[in-house]
Amino acid sequence: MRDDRRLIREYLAGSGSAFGALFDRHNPSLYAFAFRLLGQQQDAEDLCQSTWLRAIQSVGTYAARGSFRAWLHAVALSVYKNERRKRSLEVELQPDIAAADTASGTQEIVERLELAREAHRALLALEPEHREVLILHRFQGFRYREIAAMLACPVGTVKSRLHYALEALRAALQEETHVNENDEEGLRTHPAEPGRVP
Amino acid sequence: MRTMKRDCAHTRRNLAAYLDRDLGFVSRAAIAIHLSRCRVCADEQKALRQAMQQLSLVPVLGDAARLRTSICEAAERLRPMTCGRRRAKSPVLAVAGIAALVAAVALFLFTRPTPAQAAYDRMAAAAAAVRTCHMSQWTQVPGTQKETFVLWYSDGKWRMEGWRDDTRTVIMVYDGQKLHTYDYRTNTLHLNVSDQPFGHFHGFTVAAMLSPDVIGADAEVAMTQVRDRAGRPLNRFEVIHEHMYERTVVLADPATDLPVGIESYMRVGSESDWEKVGAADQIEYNSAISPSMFVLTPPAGATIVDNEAITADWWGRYEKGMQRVRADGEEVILRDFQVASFGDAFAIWSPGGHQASLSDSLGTVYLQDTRGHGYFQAWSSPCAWFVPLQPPVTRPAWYVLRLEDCGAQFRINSPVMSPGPDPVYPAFKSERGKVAFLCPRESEAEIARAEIRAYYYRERGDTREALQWFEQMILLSDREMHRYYGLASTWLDIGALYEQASMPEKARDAYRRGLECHDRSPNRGNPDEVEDAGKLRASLDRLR
Repeated sequence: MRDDRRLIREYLAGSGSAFGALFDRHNPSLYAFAFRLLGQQQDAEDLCQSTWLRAIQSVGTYAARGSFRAWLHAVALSVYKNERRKRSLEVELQPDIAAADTASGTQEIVERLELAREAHRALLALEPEHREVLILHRFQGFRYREIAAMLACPVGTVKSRLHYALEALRAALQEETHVNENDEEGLRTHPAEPGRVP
Repeated sequence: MRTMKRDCAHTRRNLAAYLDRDLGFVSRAAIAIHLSRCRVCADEQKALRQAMQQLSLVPVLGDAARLRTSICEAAERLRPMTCGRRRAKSPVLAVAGIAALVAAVALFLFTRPTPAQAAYDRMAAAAAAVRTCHMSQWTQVPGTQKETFVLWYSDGKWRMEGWRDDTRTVIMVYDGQKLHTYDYRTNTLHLNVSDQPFGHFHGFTVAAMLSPDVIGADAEVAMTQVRDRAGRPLNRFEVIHEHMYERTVVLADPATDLPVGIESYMRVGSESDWEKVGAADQIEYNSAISPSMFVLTPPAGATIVDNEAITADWWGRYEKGMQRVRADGEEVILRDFQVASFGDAFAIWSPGGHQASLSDSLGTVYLQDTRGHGYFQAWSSPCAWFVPLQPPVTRPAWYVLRLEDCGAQFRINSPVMSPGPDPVYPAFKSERGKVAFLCPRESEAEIARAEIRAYYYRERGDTREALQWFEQMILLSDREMHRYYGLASTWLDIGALYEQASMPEKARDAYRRGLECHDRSPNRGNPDEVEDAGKLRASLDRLR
């Protein structure tokens, strides 16, 4: 299999098929990143399209120091941030899972879908910079150093954002699925709740 | 409001990294040990793991494949013009070609493993070939008593002895199949299947201690040459875990490439304020270790707790139900009722055929025992945990559990006795078949009970009882943990109670003792402790 750098060289040298091969190799991962980040198929497609167009225009600047995949994700992040800035207000994101057919599914499938919906809702509710890092690390499989390079920030910042993202996610999911465990929380950090004794 | 205990706070802060296997060896061991004792943190760990599992369910709908045609057309249209499309004919370009060649050679040299990485890899390879190992290590999370562990490893089996001061507290032996844990304090031997003391997948080996799973795959490794006290050269590897405020130092003998020391540091205050929190030293390799070291025979009279068997019993009891009553047109099933040491009771019930505990849906619950004493319901999920308001001197002959809203009432004459301070039951759903809690150290459970009672009585306005339990808690903390961290806030609560009781002298004394604890606490740079200290000083000033 031709590696990414070779494909880029061939594309720049005039090959008609090299870019298609690059697209086929990286678009699924790029789309997955966009969908998890935005929660909607249409928004994810738009982000992919803008990313690829920007990548085509600036592929000459790809210095081949890191992986093309990481570079492409960095481009996607840049496009996403610009879009966010233009909109100026963060729109409340909602997961696009409702489209899945739950009517014919078994109880187990319905439950799994519900869990997935909860998780995606919690993910979309995170602060954008926490969400980006969480998705890049846990779903896209990038290492701390790669994420730091993409975001142009220290590795420590990546790690702390990841830590806060997971904490917030855990709290959100626990609140959603185990409402009645609030009593436990009360015991952990607050004085005991009176009035439960005859 | 009290802050959580500092060792709990440290554990929580590092849980994600712990689950990601991105912590240093000593920190990992310290957290694994804390998790095995602290039910609250173990619950947090479980919740975080569940959140991670749930997160992995997030699907991807669609694939954007239809963009292919338009993007490829755009790629053709917008193809950048580069020198790659022209042939290098001019002398200038020839020079550029040579420069590119030089750059390529430099890139090749640059991307080769650095000397530090190569030396680190050699050390990991040497450690992987170790057949036997004997070492001593210590760990001390700031503000707790120092614990020492002595380890023996031989071909997949290991033994670890835990010491506090000059007292051996625990022996753990993994014989290749089961983990045997003997607790000296309770004279109890626990048996578990394929557990690991440090929580990583490799069990205990020297190589595992150095693996990316333990050291942290993304950690920065820097190497310097140092000399030991005898003047011999050593390779000093420094592994920095920036976000964790931790760093690990591994010292290796360049002659053998084997590690001769591992040290762990934690940032306790400002950026330059690091404290050594653990170290492994006195490491011997490939010496003969008797096979008898990996056989654990408990003393006569020891209680043997087979957690596999207990789990199986629990499931049988849970599925069958201990008692059934009809109330409000519905059958309510008491599925489990256990009484642990200190007299705490744990109950699980459910209406009808539901398998899970639905305790909260049945409203307020009361528990009373033979003595007519009340219990405080500390938790409600996944099982209801009742703490007696006064510790029982003798075991009650029976208990009555009343579910107020539906009117169901159970009289329990023969509760199941748990072997430790916690109930034995497997976690629900995803962790079916595993024992949830492996009986933490009873002394710590006792401190927790005193704390619960203190806050309970304080909320009820019973100052005398509250003060009694607060002081008991301080006494136990001092006796068991020799710790000073976190106690400043308890003394602050005590002082406030004395003030309420119009006892200013006692209040002043409490505030003073709080400040003493703060001054002796290794966590005194922690913002929570600094805030507590400020309140203590302000209270003292006010009383002056």
